Amino acid sequence: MGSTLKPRTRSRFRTAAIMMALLLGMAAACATSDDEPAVAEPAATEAEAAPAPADEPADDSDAAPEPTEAPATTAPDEPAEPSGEPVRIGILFSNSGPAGIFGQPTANIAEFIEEDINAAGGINGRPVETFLADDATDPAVGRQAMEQLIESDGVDVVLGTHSSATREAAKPLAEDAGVLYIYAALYEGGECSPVMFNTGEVPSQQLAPVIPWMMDETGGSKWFLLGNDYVWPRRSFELARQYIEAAGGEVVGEEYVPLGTQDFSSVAQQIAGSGADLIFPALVGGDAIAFETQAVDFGIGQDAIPRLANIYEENVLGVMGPAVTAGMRVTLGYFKEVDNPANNAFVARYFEQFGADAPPHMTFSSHIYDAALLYAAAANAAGTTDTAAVAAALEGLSLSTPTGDISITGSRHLAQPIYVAEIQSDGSQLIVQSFPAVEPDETCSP
Amino acid sequence: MDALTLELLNGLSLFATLAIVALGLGIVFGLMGIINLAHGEFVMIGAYVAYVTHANGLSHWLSLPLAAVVLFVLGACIEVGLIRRIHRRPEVTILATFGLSICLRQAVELIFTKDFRGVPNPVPGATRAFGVLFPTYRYVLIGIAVVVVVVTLLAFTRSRFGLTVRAIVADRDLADASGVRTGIAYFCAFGIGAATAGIAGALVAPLGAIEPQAGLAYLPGAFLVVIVGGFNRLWGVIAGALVVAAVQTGVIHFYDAVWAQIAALALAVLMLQLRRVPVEGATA
Repeated sequence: MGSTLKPRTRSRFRTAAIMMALLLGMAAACATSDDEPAVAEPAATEAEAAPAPADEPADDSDAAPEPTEAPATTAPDEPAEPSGEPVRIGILFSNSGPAGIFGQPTANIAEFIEEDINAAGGINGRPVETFLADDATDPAVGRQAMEQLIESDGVDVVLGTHSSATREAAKPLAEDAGVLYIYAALYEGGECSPVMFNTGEVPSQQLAPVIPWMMDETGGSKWFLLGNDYVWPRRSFELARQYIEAAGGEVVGEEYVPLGTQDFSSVAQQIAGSGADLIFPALVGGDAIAFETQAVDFGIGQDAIPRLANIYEENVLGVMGPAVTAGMRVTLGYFKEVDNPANNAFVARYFEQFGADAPPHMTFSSHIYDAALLYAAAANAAGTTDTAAVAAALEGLSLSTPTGDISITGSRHLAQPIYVAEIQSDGSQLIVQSFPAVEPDETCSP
Repeated sequence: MDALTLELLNGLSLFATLAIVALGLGIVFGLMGIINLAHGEFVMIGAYVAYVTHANGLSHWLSLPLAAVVLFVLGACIEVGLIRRIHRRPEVTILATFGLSICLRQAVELIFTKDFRGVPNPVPGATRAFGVLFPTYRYVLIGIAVVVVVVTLLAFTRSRFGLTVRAIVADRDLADASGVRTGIAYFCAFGIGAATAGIAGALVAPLGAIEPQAGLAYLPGAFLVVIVGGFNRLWGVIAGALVVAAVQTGVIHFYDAVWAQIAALALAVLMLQLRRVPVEGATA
């Protein structure tokens, strides 16, 4: 039956291909007719494609262990002062997979890091260059990405904004190579390593000052804690329970749902029956959207039971819509609405450079920017990019950035401002409370 | 009493969702014996059809037939362009449809970006019935899902078309030789399977987030339902969805959602052990 059927099948295949192309074309047309025109491909790809030959190590400081070859590259063709072999700043981030949604702002901010540090004279007179590596929200890929940054790109420092799982997979490589690793994402806390600093918000910072404030503000005291089932929500709730009880409140329910949960009907019923008058949802991404949109119809929306969230960010809140979100409070170390002259100028420049509809600058990209500035300041103070010397200079370092006043603590974490934003009826975020220089409740002496 | 009624309604809406999501897989995997790892992506694309419909200011209800048409065309193209060439070799089908699922996710990401999208609930609020308040949209979802599932299953078990498909599944060469137009029938069956997945996607769109990765969450549930319900009986989709929904709702009620997921997977292992499923030659 084979040979006689062939021409027919082949022509069918062609028809199929044409139909598919038509379908894709139709879908593309629909997408462009929508209010969001196709976004230009991330700067990440450009940066990744940038020449970074393995046999051209970035070396400079005498203390570093790598062999020095004749520096082949010339300085970037800008008239600014820094010159010589660039200082290489690696950025390990999630640009695909579930957390890929946070990738674009970080890729954008990498441009600002180069521009701003170079405009300020670079690091020890040398320009900086950023190298981006995507972990695809997968620890195994993250480990390879870290390897690429260290071995192929020859970076002097790695700034990370990705999951804790990727951090645990990638950390040994940085430790073995003696490369400084500044983890800048909000996380559960407890990290301590000779090559690491952790500048993201930890639960003690997001919650200790904000939980009593929330209870005062709303008059509620009976909390329901609902989180995805992994280490960060569990650690957050463990601490939240202490702060709630210390403030005279009680926890009337604590539930965990698997990541990727789509049906919240039973959970909604438990919350409704618990008598809770406050909800602390530590849900990420699609789970948050599913819970909040379903909760409204079960009569336990924000109007009925106020929310204090510690991760709900603009894209997720935007999909829920103001009808669902108006009144919710979110506690984080940065919002683009933070009102100080430096931040206002920074945010205006961001949207001017990347377009008014660019994925907004947010806490993850802000912490990467701050980490780069901290690194530059420490390396300048140390006069070298040697890991041990920069690490010593980082401890106790204070800076003023668009985020506010920040300083590295003795526990290698970051004392930083914590902001509470309230979602307005038009969906915008308004900073309703700020707590300056909140100390993390961490201990570390590597 | 009210709590029990609510839990029954929750279970019913979970059953309806599982049944309509698994229906297409029941046809493609259960009946035709094709392991389709891109089934979740069909559901995801159905949800995007709902989003595009909403973004163009059209009624949400219009997105259900639209999603069926779009996914039927897409499914039929995939059958002709890909599945037809490899369906006799299950190990190749697994790899090819896995690759296809990645391609579909990336294509959607290129068109719509990674951002979460949403569709507003067309009938917000709750309705009082059986002495309890229950979200109106879930009543609608249960109704539409049950109708789609029953009509599709009737078409496959009671019509001449269904007989043709089952004849091909039993012995393709013999059917070919007897004058059955095997190409068209398979093309339609796969297309219908994809179309029901599209309807499922558009139907659940107002209840959650729409994103390129969303399909990944539907695939295990759909396979679970087909495995529990039995491969070679199409009506097994209903039985499977009923059992899985009952187990999940029950365990969530008495323990929590994490144990519910473990219980559902344990159930699948148990059913596979009890059943000793034949890999080839499934009949309706």
